[in-house]
Amino acid sequence: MSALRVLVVDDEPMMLEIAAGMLSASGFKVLTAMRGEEAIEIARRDRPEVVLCDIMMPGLDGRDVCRAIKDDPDLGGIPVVLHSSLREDEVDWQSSGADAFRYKLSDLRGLPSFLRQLVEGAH
Amino acid sequence: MADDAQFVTAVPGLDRLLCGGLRPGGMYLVAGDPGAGKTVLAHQTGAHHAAGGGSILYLTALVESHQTLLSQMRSFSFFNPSIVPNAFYYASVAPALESGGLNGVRQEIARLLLSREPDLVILDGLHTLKVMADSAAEYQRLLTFLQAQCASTGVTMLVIANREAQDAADPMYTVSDGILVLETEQSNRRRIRTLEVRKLRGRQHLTGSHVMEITGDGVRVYPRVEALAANLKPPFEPPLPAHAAFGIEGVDAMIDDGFGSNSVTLIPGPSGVGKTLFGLSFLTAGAEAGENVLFLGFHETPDRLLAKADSIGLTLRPHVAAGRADIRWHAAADLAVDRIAQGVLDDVERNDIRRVVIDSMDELRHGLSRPGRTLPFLSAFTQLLRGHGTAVLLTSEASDSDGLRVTAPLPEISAAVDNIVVLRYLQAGAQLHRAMSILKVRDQAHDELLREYTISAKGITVGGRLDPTGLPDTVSYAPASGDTE
Repeated sequence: MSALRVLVVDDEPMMLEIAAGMLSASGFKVLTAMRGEEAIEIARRDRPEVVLCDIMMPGLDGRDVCRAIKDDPDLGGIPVVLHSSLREDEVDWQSSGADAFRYKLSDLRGLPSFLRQLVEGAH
Repeated sequence: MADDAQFVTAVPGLDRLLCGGLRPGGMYLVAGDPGAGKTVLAHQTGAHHAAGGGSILYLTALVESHQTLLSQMRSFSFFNPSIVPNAFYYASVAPALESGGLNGVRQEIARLLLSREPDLVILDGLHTLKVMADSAAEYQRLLTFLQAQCASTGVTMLVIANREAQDAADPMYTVSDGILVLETEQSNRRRIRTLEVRKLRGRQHLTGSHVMEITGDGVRVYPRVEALAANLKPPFEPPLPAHAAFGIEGVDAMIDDGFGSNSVTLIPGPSGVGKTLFGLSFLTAGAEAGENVLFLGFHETPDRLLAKADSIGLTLRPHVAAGRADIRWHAAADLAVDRIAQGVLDDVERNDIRRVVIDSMDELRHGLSRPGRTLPFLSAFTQLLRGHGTAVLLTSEASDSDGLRVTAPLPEISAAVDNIVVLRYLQAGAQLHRAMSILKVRDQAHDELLREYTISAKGITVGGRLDPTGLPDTVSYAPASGDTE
């Protein structure tokens, strides 16, 4: 079975390193981006199977990235998870069409299984 | 995770300073000189969580060997070596440091967090990592990484570091969620260990430094009573409905059948005038009324005090035997005042003690390490006791050399106590008389006469108005001078 490709998007390098490191160690093939524009470009080029994207970023924010992916006929089926240091009830994430929300300050160790289940559910 | 969730340190007294504990997912610096107790404290917290089913990862960076750490911890009652290695896992980041620098350390820690899934990480040797960093930016990156790891995985981290002169500039002081500083200070020719919560992000805590001890049971912190009292919300000032009788007929008649049941009474007087006997009478009256009572003494042993009570017919002994009355004696040389105060407060809480006699407040004062602390300490201590509904009686030896002139033990002591009963000697020719007067009773009418009293096998007997014939016509209670401390 080939490794799931996940695109992790975060403007904070440490959060990117931690999330990417954890997913990589859990068997994912990890693509990373630090800006929204870069994320959309990578998504079009490398077609990840799931996207984990921070909401608050300079330039395009996570919801803009999500809308761009969902509006693209070739990419719209890719599950997008938005995550943030804001709590779920503190930010409007649903209007972007995202499939799920993760609170950043929850236990990151549950993330690999969460993403796998999401991808399996999408197929 | 709820914002008010607590990660207890399980170090007695420390969680009280932290108003419950640490925030899960926070990174905390434990800083201090070598030998200050940092490693013991961290092991104590780790051992507690390991025993409760938690997973602990203890990372070392070129500090003591794991064998040395284990050997040291075996001597403490809190540490059961059987928790190692499954629940309490030692790992060194030194190989990663040597092969890959701080970047290698970051990768190694990330790998260990994934494989061990710890609840608590202890990183021992931050100073080593700082020294080995190629640049300040690399060190800062490591700290940011650790903090982000904690926040995103919910792992709580204690980072142990030696204190250095340039501490304030260390980015760890900015990045960490809290800072515990362990120090020692010189006091009355003794070294006293202290612990201070220097920073606790987003949480209330008891400020200032607090006495800390290390015994075979590990670290214990004694929160300063001033800080405990300041933390009372709202400031507790309960009503004073019931009266605490003295158990001395003539005295009770002078004060309307007793002082307020949670009031603070000061009895200053010269040596031998009967202060301790007044205290023992006060205690016995409480026990006779069914109250639990405590005598905190520094001069006389419990046996001597009981014999003294017997000698004037007080029935204290059976109450001690029944457990209703407790006599606690501390040698004058062992005056760890914060520990003594905490012991009294714990007992009052646990055993619902309604009367406390402190004989004398002078010893507490001598045991306090910092000048100027006596009045704040006594005010806070008695406030906490009265908050429980406990009546407090303080004795104080405060007189000139012949005992004829009584001086207030401290400037402004009057503001800290509700009642003042002055005991003194008066000289008539070659004869010394014992006399008492009630100088102050808060919110209560009282007799204002100077009365003679005698002490005999039948107890303390208060007479009528003292015959002034042949007695000096002077006020013999004077305020203390400002330099008493």
